[in-house]
Amino acid sequence: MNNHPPQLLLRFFRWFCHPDCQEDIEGDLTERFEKRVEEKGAFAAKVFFVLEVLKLLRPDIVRPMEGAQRLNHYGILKNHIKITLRYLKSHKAFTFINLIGLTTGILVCFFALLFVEFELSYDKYHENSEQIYRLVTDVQTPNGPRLESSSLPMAPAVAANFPEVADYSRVFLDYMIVQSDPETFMREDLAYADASVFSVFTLPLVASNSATVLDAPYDAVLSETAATKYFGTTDCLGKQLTLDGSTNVYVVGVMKDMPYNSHFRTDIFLSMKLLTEVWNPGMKDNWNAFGTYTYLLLKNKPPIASFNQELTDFVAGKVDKEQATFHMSVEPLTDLYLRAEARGFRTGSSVTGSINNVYILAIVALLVLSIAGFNFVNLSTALSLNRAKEISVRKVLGAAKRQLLFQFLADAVFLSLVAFTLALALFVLFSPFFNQLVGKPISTNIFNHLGFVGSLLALTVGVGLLAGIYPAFFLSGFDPVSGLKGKVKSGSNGHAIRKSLVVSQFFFSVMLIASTLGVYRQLHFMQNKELGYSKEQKLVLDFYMDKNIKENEKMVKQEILAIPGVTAVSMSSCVPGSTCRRYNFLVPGADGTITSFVSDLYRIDYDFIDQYKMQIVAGRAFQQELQSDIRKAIVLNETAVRTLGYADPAEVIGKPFDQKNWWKGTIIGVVKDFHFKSLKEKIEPLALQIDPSRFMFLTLDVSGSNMHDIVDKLEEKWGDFGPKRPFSYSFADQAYQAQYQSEDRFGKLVLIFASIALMLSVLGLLGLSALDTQQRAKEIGIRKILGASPSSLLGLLSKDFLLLVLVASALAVPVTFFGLSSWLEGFAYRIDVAWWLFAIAISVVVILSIVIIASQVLKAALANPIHALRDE
Amino acid sequence: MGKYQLGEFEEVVLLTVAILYGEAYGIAIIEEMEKRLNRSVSIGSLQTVLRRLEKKGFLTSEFGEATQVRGGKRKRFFTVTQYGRKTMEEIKEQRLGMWSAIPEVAFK
Repeated sequence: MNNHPPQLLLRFFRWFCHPDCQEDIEGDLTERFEKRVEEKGAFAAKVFFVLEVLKLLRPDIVRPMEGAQRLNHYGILKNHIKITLRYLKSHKAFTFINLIGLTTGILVCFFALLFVEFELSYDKYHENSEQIYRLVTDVQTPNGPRLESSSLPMAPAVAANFPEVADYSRVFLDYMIVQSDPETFMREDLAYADASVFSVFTLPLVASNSATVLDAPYDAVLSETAATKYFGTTDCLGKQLTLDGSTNVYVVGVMKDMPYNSHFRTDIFLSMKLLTEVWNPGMKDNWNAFGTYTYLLLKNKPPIASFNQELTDFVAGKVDKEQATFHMSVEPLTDLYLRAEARGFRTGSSVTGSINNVYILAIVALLVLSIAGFNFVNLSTALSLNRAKEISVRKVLGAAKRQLLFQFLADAVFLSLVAFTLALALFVLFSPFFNQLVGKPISTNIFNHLGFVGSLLALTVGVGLLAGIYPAFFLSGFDPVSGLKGKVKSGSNGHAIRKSLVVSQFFFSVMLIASTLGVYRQLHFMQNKELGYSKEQKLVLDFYMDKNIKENEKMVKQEILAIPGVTAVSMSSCVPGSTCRRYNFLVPGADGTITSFVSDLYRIDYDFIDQYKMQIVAGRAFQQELQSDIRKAIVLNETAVRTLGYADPAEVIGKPFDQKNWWKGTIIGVVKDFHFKSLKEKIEPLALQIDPSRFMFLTLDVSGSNMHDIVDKLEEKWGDFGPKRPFSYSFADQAYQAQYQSEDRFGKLVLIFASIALMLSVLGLLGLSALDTQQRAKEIGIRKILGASPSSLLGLLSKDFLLLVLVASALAVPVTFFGLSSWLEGFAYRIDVAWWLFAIAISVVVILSIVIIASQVLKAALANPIHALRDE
Repeated sequence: MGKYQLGEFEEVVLLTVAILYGEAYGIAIIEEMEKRLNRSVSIGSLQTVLRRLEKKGFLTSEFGEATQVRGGKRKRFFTVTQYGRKTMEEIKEQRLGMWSAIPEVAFK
């Protein structure tokens, strides 16, 4: 029979019992247990034993919390905390600079890392994200490569012929007038999609009335937001929406809103069959009509390179080659946002980000944090003189170096934790502002990012340790004897480190200022460059190809011209800045062979060229009197002429053109190149043609100051024209600026970060020079007595710092030049990196430094030397 | 009068320790109390009281020799201090005084 007391319980007892009474009570327990075994048997004894042990859990018997052994450590810890707090209190400026620095550094890191995390998280929320690939086409044409998405028949054919393809879904982005009642109409971005969109992607439905939504042509799936917008409730299955005033579709499902980190987003899904069976049946079999996004779900990932080759070979047999070569490839879904081209279409496009901007922001945030860390290191070591006595006394009393190290590290970590808490509070405060700045709902609620906050906390402690480790070694290494005799020279051996840290701070600052200037120069350049056409005082109205307006062109124009303040009006299918359809043209080239080129095509009226102040460099503009000028004549731009191989624009006049499947006619003129797209892209070939059937936009030249009146009158007339279209207008120059929105945001972010970095560096310099002057107060006093003037003192004391600033600037120039140049390579039309960018950056830094140092030095130099010299 | 009021359990423990003079360790005290007072006592409750009485100065203790039984652990023997004895006597006199003050008719 087992008659030992349960060992586990006994161990538990030994653990909790006060060591003073552990032995005899354990003896008692055992004795009693043994007796009970004899009297009542082992089981009963064990039960009693459990009860006895539990009843011993009393305050007098349980060991005290801190444990008898550690009482001493607890005391010294309390002392450390007390001394730290006193020390921080007595050096308010130092504490302030460090706290401000660390707090801003951590805050900037918060935001930057959150942004980076968001940018990297695009499309990763789909369960199959690793297996989804987008099918895209690179078209090699005589006038350069063209990046397209895919055409409608590709997906079914590829899925049928390649066993690797488990499933596919096609998405076609579009916009339309959507109505839930006859009175209100809104322009909505929407998407046609195959029913499989809900199985390929992870788009949870909150309500649906059939197993296969979007399978029928008139199905529609709304997001919760859209459902609430149109019907006031998400309970709207079976309700009806009217598209473009004519077609009714019915809500068969409501889905959760698509997350913002999606490369395409829509609130309304329509059935792909509405497009392919009802509206545009020809499209289904047209291999050359790109504009559809095709997503393939690939089973056990095939080798991508050979898969691409097989796809290219497969498609080569199907497409109409028109002298172009088609290269098919697949792009992983998770790379679409940051590493792929948007491959947009006239009616809509997926969005892309920039992996470079992500890297740049992350680096800038780390720079800001390191500047703050450097401040900490600099000020701690510079202040070491003030702590020399404390450290020496501790050493004499027997403190080991290890303990002192721990003390100073704990100081640093303590400070960084305070900074972390402050940063967290500020984070909550600034979140809405940040979301607005980047234009995305990145941080909604801090509690959604708990894991993230945890990692930042780790980062903070890490920064505290890193920033504390040098001062800790430095301070704990003092020789106690010289410390007590007051012989320790203020951080004389920390000088080299301090200098190199100051140099790196200003290195970063000059770099950031010059880069910010560069980014802003480029933005300014893009927004103000002479574009080759006039965008001033122009109002653009989008009438969505409304029949009432298109068919009454003359009447509408007369009515609009009657509004006082409107000086000219024209209609066109595109306006500069908008995306435009492209067509294939066959024209005899300079060498006599028929050359094909792809070109954007503007369908315009007779007033358009004049109104936009385009220059005809050869031939003539369209003439109203000539019947043959309608559709059968085109005007090219200079780039198109160059593509054809003509040196002189005049040579191309009178040559025939063949717009495949559309019109044949003559080239009648050449227009000077103008930037009809963003300056990020090179000017491409362009053709202009008179074709009233394709008009979409009205352009009004307006003059006078009372824009509000004009818009009001226009809206009134709009109602009279009777279009079932929203009245939506924009100013041509504003629409133009909107193209650079993401650059503008990026510029603002960099500007903010750069200013913070500069502010921190300056604060650090302020602290350092204040300490330096304070510690050299006696020297200054003696020099003054011996006749030094304030200006010579200023020179003496600022020389060191200024030298550092200059060295930093010199180092920053080449690095920034390289970085800025490679950023600018992303723009087809860009500024040169001018020398004066650096001149400005360096002078800003130098002047600020001089002001700061002078303020400190002059205070000492102008003071009565007696104050510095009287004690001792 | 004593500044410290002894509780009932404390008083009983003190008395038992005195009775067991020289042999008063944990289990012996418990057994004596259980035998005389016919109530069960747990080690936990006894030990708390013993420590408390010791802290107040009514008891002292010392370890005995280690033996084969009880896992080789030594016993802690308690003895009543002079101060403890005085307190016990005070209590006894107070009680006797009170007994004798009861009028005989009260229990009739």
